[in-house]
Amino acid sequence: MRGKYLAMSRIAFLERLAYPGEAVLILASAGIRTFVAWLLWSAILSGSRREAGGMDLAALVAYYLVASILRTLDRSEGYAWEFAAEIRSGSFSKYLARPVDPARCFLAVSAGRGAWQACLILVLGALAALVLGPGALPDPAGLAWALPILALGLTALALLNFMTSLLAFAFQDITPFHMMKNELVNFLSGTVVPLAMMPPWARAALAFTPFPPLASLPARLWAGEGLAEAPAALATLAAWVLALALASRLALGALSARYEEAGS
Amino acid sequence: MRSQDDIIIETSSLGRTYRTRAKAEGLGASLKGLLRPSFRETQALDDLDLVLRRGEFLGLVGPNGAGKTTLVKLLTGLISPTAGSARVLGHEPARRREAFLSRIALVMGQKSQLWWDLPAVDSFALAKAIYGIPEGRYRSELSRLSGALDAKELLERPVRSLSLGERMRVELIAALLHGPELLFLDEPTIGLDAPTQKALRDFLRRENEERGISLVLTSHYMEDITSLCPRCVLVVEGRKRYDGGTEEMLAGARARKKLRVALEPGGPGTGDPGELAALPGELAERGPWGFALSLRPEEVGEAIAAVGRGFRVLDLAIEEEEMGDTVSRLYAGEAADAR
Repeated sequence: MRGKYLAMSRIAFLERLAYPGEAVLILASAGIRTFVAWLLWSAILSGSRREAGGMDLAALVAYYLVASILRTLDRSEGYAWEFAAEIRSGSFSKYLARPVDPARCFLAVSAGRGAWQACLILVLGALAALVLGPGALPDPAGLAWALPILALGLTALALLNFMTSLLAFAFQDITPFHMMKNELVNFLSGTVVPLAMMPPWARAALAFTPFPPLASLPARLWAGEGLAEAPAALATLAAWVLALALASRLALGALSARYEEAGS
Repeated sequence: MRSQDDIIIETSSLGRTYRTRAKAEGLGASLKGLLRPSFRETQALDDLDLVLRRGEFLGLVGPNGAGKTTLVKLLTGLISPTAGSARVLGHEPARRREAFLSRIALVMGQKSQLWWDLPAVDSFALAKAIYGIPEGRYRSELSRLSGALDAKELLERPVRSLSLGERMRVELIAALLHGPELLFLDEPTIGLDAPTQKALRDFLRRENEERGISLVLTSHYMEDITSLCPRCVLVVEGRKRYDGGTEEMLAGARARKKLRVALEPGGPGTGDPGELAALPGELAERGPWGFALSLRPEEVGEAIAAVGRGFRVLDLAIEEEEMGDTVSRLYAGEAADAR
């Protein structure tokens, strides 16, 4: 019976194959983000200043490219919209009338969709390595840390998105919550501005949050940097995942009591 | 002889109250509601006792908003009761135990449990994993159900490309693959054409009679209820108004008959409506062909005699009341007594 969530991930993966172009568009958005970052930092670094946060323009562009691509691995945000719509329309019954846990279903579907995105990234990475040579490949030790950190980071973010979608039990429109969460996640994960440019106290504080492992830390690990921070980040993330899983369970219990008002 | 073990649903004084926000019309009331919200309690279901035995096919009938869907939600564990208790297959539904949910299935005519962009067979594979159905049993059940529902050609088509009737057939397969002991059907034939409705009814009857599955059906189509459910429960304004044989309920409610009288053209009764005023009963229809009277059974003889005396009759027929009129009377509470 434990295989049911694996089967759910599988079917979510298959569902993405029905619209293969979407994954390409998502990756294109990462390319646009990198292009905009290149324009911005080219302007900033065009004068006497040649570096920012210890990175020159090439390093910054590489950072943005990796960080933006890694952020595309999170497919739980899109699913949160669908989940919220199911709550409002009453289709949420399909989770309650069957022997499944809605939170685990949410994680399983997000993982399945993210896996499809990861496959595409792997193909692109292999192509990049062929064109650019071994320099484009990640640092092996960094990659060994980056993968579990990314997995836990994406799980934490998916749980956060699950809780956001549960707000549909209480609110008609959850767009403001998504917008606030996205702004925070993008900024605090280092997707907008590299965390290396933040003051030391801010970086120290952020080390206790689940956000840097979503983009900034894996991007640095990719380049073979930040290996010393990895064990602590992994432990912090594990604690966050446990806390968010507990909070999700409590939120589901409390908010689903309103279900009858959210549709038949 | 039936034992206590035969009882698969038992509710006692089951009730559910919804607390909803109340707001008067207009901007002022909306602003006031922001500062000082007021709430209204709606008794969706009240003091309902129900017993269902294994193998029964029970119909739940009642007007919109009567509490039928609330009852189904309570019995499937989608919501919790605010009063009384319910036990289904020996479990308290609201606890949503896996051992309980694995033994029931719920099909809602207006909601889908299938993955929209994938062929139905992918959703079936997911159901196999969710319910832990062994491979051999899964294959044989899928073959049996898709054959019985004439759905073999539908399994590999994306669900979004199926018509409503086709989708309902694959929804039923998805619900029955794990062999539930109790199937809840909420408006399964809504929006379907007559042949598809009949095909689904035939299928459900066979599942009940040949495989012993117990069913609880809510439907606004009385033909679903009359052709499938020997027993039905009438719910009106959250309260049980009748629990017993479906035929008996309808017979009790069919309090009126229709006397249709075809008249000789140009003769008495085809012109001035006042000529019909002295007849017993109520004038139900009138046209150049004649008229029809709605009568209580004891008025029929008197009406036939009066028509024979006063009019030149070409033809005369006594008809049972239309089902819609009977149901309207039932819902209005004029006929059935709660048992």
